[in-house]
Amino acid sequence: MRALALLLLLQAPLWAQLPEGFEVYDTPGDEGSSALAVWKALPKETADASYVVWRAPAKDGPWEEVARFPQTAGWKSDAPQHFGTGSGNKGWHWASIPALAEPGKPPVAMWVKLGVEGAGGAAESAPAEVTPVPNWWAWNKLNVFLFVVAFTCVTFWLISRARRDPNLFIRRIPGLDAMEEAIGRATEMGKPILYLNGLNAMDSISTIASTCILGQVAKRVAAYDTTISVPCFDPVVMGVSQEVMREGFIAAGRPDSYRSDAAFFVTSDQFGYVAAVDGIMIREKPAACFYLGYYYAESLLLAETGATTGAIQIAGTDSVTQLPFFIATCDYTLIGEELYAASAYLSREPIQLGSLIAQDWGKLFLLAMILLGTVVGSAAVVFRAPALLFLKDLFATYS
Amino acid sequence: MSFGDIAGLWLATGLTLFLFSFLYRDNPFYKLGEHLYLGVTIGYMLVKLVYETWIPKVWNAENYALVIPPVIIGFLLLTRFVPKVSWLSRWSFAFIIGYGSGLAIPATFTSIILKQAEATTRPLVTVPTAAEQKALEAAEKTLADTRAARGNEAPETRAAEKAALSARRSGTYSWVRAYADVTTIILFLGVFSVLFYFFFSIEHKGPVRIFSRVGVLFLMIYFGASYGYTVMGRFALLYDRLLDVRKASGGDAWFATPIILVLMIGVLVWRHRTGKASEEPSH
Repeated sequence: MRALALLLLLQAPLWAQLPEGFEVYDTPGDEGSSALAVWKALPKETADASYVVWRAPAKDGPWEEVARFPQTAGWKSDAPQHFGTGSGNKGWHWASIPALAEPGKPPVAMWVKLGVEGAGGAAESAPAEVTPVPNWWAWNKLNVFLFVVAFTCVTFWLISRARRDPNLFIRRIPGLDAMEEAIGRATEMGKPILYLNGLNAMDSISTIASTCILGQVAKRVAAYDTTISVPCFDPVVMGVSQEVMREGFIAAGRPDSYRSDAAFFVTSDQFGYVAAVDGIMIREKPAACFYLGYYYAESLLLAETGATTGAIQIAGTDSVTQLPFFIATCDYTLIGEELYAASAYLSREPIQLGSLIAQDWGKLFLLAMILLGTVVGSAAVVFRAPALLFLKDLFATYS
Repeated sequence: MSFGDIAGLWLATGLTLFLFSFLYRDNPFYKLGEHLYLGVTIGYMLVKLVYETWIPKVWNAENYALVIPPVIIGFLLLTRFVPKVSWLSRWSFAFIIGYGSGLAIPATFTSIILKQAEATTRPLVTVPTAAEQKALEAAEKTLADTRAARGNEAPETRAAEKAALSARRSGTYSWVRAYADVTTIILFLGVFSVLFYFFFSIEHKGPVRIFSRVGVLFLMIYFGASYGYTVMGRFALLYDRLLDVRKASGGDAWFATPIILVLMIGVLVWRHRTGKASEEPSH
């Protein structure tokens, strides 16, 4: 009997200690795609032992493993996007559990349990129920919301200021001064102007900026009575281009000169578009080529072909990887934000002017925050001040 | 290789050489390649649109009530073909631009501006933490103890020396730490000066001009590096294409590359001699 008891004792599993405070709740501020599990760290934790998290559609299973990591990882303090930067995160672990329901489908309840596996054996907690639901507010993006609201207010105020004083200062942008010159050159040579809007759709900021500039270019094209060609990559961009060009021609008092086929659709295939535009360049030999918008690998193919035809070339993009190619092959290049400034610079309309100056204010605010964050961070490191370190974390999370 | 494979190789090689012939000048081969490419891409796009968007998302939609508003907005775009009601298409454009800006602005703000600001907000100097200094003291003590017990040449002493060296790097203000600090300061200076270059409402003269010129220098250094990096990638793509053309030059592909090349050169020489080539624009 004693031998049998000893045998049973030897074969029984060694039960590992379970952590305290295991809790599961819906991830706040998400679209209902996950839940969060948190638990207190064990007094003695090693890298050899692991925490395991399972989920199941019902209390009795079937269980599916959704997270596994060593006991020395998965700290709440490493996820300020969920738990903030408070000192209460110390000594707590967490795990994210994906929801059972597919995105856009009604929420489904699930059961979650925590396990500990290691040399000391294995143990499992009692299952806890949770239902991940979509939330109207993403509180971790509150800083974005506040900044956008503040920025919008400043923009409106600056627009009203620009309406009162339209002579607000904007520094010279050489690439934009050259646009006038390029259109004049095309008029003198009796050759067309080629204007490209880039390869992005109408929901891209650079395409919106490009069509705004096209409106200003169309005004001058109409005034000089020259011709313009706008091959488009996207059918909606083509429609918008036609509209802004029509407006430009009407504003210049030449609605009769407007041709709706000046902006036309080519194809939505990247290199098919390049082949067609290169062919147009070689056959029509435009006097001026404008590449304004967002570009990808085709930038050099387009600008190099344009350069071989002897056209004056002006490019502008916020695609940082393509800017070097435009700088190498074009006469003038609008770098990044200069593209957004172009329309305000050319038109000097109060709305655009006010928005441009508001952008400068935004940049100034950002510079001030970076400077403050850097000074606070440096001081925190040098003086080893915990309060300052907390401020540094705050900047890192919410800046 | 089957007949189908060989036909495919001939087509791919022929079209590649047709498009490369643009390097010489505009010619009938390039035009054929260009128009074929355009036609195929538009046809492919249309079929994809019908089978991947229209049929599954509109025709077989789970909830027609949700599909009707976007379909109406889409159809309003087609009013451009009827001049009298073409103004209706502006509603669609207004919606597309409005929702596009609404989506893009917060996303850009989060993913670009805030991330960039967060990455730049770093301490300009770093000093060893209390834990790192403690670790250094412990490592030095271990080294001294091991030396005393085992001597200078023992493997245990070597290991302790290594550990002490590593602890000294993090526990004192070493060259490694100084290098990291200098990099942080350069990065900080770069971000500030580049952002100054993009100020439009202040005149760039005096100290602002000098600072913004520093920003331009940073930009040019980045552009130079980016140019070289991307060109290397493009050459890799070219080699890949040329390898395919070379693969098609052997007997198993029925000598596709040399035959097509000879035919092309023959036609181009004939057109040049008969004066037909002069009708086509050159670069």
